[in-house]
Amino acid sequence: MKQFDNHTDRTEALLARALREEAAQVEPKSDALQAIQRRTSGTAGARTPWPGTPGSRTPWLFGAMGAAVATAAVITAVVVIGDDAATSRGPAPAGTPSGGVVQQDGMHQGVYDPQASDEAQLTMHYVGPESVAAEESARRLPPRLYTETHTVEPSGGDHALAAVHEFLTSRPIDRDYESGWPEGVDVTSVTDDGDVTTIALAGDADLGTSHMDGYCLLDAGVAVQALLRTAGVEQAARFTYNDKPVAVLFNCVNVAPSVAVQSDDEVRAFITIDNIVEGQMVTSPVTVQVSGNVFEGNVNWVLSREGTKLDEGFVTTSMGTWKQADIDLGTLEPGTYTFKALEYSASDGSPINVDDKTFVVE
Amino acid sequence: MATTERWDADEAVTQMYAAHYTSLVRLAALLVRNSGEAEEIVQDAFVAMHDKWRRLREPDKALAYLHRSVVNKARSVQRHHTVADKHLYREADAVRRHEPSAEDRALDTQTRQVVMAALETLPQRQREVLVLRYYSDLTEHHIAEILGVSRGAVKSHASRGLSSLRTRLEEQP
Repeated sequence: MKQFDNHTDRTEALLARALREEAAQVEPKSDALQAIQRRTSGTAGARTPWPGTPGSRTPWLFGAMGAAVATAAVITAVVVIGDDAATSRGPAPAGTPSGGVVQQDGMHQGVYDPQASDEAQLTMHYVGPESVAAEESARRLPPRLYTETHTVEPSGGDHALAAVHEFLTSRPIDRDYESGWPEGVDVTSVTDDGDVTTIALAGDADLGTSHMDGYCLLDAGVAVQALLRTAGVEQAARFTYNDKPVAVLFNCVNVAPSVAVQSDDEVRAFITIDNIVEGQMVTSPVTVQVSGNVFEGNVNWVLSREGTKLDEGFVTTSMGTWKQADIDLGTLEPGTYTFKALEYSASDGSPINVDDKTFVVE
Repeated sequence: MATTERWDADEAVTQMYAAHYTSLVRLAALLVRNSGEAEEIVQDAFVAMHDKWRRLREPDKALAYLHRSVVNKARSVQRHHTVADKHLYREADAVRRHEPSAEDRALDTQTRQVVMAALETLPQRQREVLVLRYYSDLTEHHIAEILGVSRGAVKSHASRGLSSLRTRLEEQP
């Protein structure tokens, strides 16, 4: 048989030709692009990329159904806005080795009940909407971390273990947030061993434990940091997965021999709404607490209802470090509102560093 | 800034579709031996890429992302196939395929069938490496990246796969 192509080996040449000819028999359908576009239309990726712009991952207002779903995720009826009960509360430090294996019961919707006991409140650290570099609107930056309080059945046991279990097995109440971790993984223990905390995971999810940069997502490192913070890790952690040490997570995050907790400067969201959980029911008058670390400290805010802007303003926080400030919205009629805190880009005026919450006034 | 960085998710799908859809479908078809399922696999990969477009750290590696998705999904599909299913699919495919000329059929079809049959007897990983190398024309480095294995492992799979293939072909009359 004659020599084919550049492959010097006869078997290689035969194989190359056979594969090419076999492949050439396959003709894709002509309407495949339309089929893909039908499936991608209206999904997260189809939305306008910049937070705060119409259709972005950070919605101005939920649709009626979205608001209802989000509201339904919150157990309780009343909370006094401004009460610390709704603000970020750090989980207890990772402590002694936990004994029990957390039962894997699939994903559930996270809930928040501000009237529940402190013991039942766990702070989740979630990956938020994409960040945007103010000086160069097309540059991609990793997203940053936001907190959300979840209420769980008090176990009386290991706070860190319970927090990580909730983090890995529940969906964020705020749909703008995500854990960044795949379904099908849970925690079996969180063990504090001096400077390094060992987090033992188990499951059947693909955690991307081999290096593959082309398959690496921007939020990969942030997702690891989200779990570390949720676990209350103070310095560094190592991971095991199904009892084997993990060197790489999500195809590109080196976690061996351990991965250090990053500073606020590196991962914390620049603007956050601190005392409202998405969909929360509140009583009037309403005060919103925001934390900011932005240019000249100016955090802008917009209050809207059913798509109509009701009020707007700005509050001074800080630049270079985070500072909390109160925004008094006054007396509000019963209804569903959206409060949005943001910064406007100094370069082009586009909204950046957006956090927003929908809440219901009784 | 790479061109891909400027694309939004919709444009990424359009551009990558125009440049790579057909070759990806053919790659998937070689892996699962079924053109209908190959299209589903590749369309799933495009939808996944679209959803994650804003979060891809290196969008210029979108093709690697698609290759990886296709290989993984093909592997998953193969796991769920029974031998009986495969035979059914092949029969259905044969009806859909373009028929080559009588002269080609006399030589190439027979050769191709022998080679493809020999390829199918190889372990999955060896088959994947050989298809990526000799159909997609990818380097060891890229194959390693797509399969999530070392370059040494790619070299080893390719070498063993070719050796087995050679033995099987030599056994042919």
